[in-house]
Amino acid sequence: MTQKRYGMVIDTQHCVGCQTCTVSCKISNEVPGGAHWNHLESLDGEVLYQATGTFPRTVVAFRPLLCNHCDNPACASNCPTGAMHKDPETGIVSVNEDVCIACGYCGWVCPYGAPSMNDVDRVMSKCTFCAERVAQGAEPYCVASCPANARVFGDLNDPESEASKLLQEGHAKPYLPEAGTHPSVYYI
Amino acid sequence: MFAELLPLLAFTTFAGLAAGAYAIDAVCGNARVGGGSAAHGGAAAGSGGEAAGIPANAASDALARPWLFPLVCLVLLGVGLCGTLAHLGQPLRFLNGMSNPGSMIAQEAYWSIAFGAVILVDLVLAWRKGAVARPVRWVGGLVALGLMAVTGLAYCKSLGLPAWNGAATIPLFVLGDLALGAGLCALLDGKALRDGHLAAANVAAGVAFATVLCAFGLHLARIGLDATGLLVAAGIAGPVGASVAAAAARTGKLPVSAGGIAVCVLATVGVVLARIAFFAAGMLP
Repeated sequence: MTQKRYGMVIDTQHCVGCQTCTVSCKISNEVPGGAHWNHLESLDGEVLYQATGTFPRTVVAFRPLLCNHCDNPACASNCPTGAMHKDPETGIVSVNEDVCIACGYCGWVCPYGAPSMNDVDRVMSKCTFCAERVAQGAEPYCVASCPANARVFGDLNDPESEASKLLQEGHAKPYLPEAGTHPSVYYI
Repeated sequence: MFAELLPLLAFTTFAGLAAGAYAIDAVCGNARVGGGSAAHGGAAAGSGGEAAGIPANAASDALARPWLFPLVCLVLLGVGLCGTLAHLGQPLRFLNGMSNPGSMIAQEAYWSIAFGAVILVDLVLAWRKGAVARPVRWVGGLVALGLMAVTGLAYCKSLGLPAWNGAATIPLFVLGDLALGAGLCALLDGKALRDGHLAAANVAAGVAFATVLCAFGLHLARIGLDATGLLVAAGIAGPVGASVAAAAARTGKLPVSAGGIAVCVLATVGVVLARIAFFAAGMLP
């Protein structure tokens, strides 16, 4: 178990699908080429921005997807090089780009498809939970930029953190828990 | 996207041919090239063999050139492994890919190296002694089975790709490799199709592969994907076509040399089509 367990709670009832998080992440982290660390899907997994359900019970809702910084990360356990690793102090999963051979296997085994090929440097890249900002006490860019305050970030091992309190309320659930990776991102 | 698919197709096909051939030969090659079987093979060639297009003085190719089988398999494995390098974004760092033994990709590398080492030993022994060392072939068959299993397992563990994360994936690779290997054995020693064991192995591998093609097609349908056209084409070319060719060569309706070529080509086409369907279902948007 890591000392801290940084995680996120995303309220899909607040998310308006504006993709500010996607753009903010891409620009602020200077995510190269066609790689993306943060993207949006329809909440029901169907076509984005298309209402689902049957009138009058239709809904347009979104699921922002990023690395879930799992407790049991499939990317790290299946990475042949050990480039994918989990920081024992923060629980953040990151990739050592100097070791990565860019086989792409982490992207296949991740149930969330989070690792993304950096086609400029030809290595895998992924969400870092903005580790450098977080170390300085700031929030990840996606959280700070969200106009709907749909994202709450914090240490899930700290019962006083806002994210922990949301989890304690019992409404937040992980996405694809059946994959067995024990994600640190939860959705309301 | 097809460029990403091609190296994986090359590795699984070429290495699969070599691995499957060793696994099939470990079982079917004993009677053919073992101690007392040389006479048997020669007798077969000398009597009923002539009717099937086998010259009266022709011995089994495996007896005449025992080094050919391991040499071809070594080259195929080498070409397949080169295919994996083309898949890597950083091919010069390929040694890093063996750092984590828990990873199936690393396991594939370990098993490939072990398999290559066994083939090399087999080749040297065959070259120097002029005869097949059966125990080495048996070891090769076991290591080949391991390589086939970890290859299937590597794809099966892809939680992010539902098309691959199914129960049909491992048998799709193991049985596909066995079908490939049975075809390669027929190509390298066409006369062996006449003894019945190899022809039966080709038909059995074909039937098993056809079954797993159906299972994979059902799995795709369950998750909302469709590759029926490719899978049906794979089934017609491989299981049906190769089995018919093997049976025809066995019964003397097809010359064994042509039969061997036909069986290998049809089995390979069938497996390649099935694997294109497999990779496309997982990787294409």
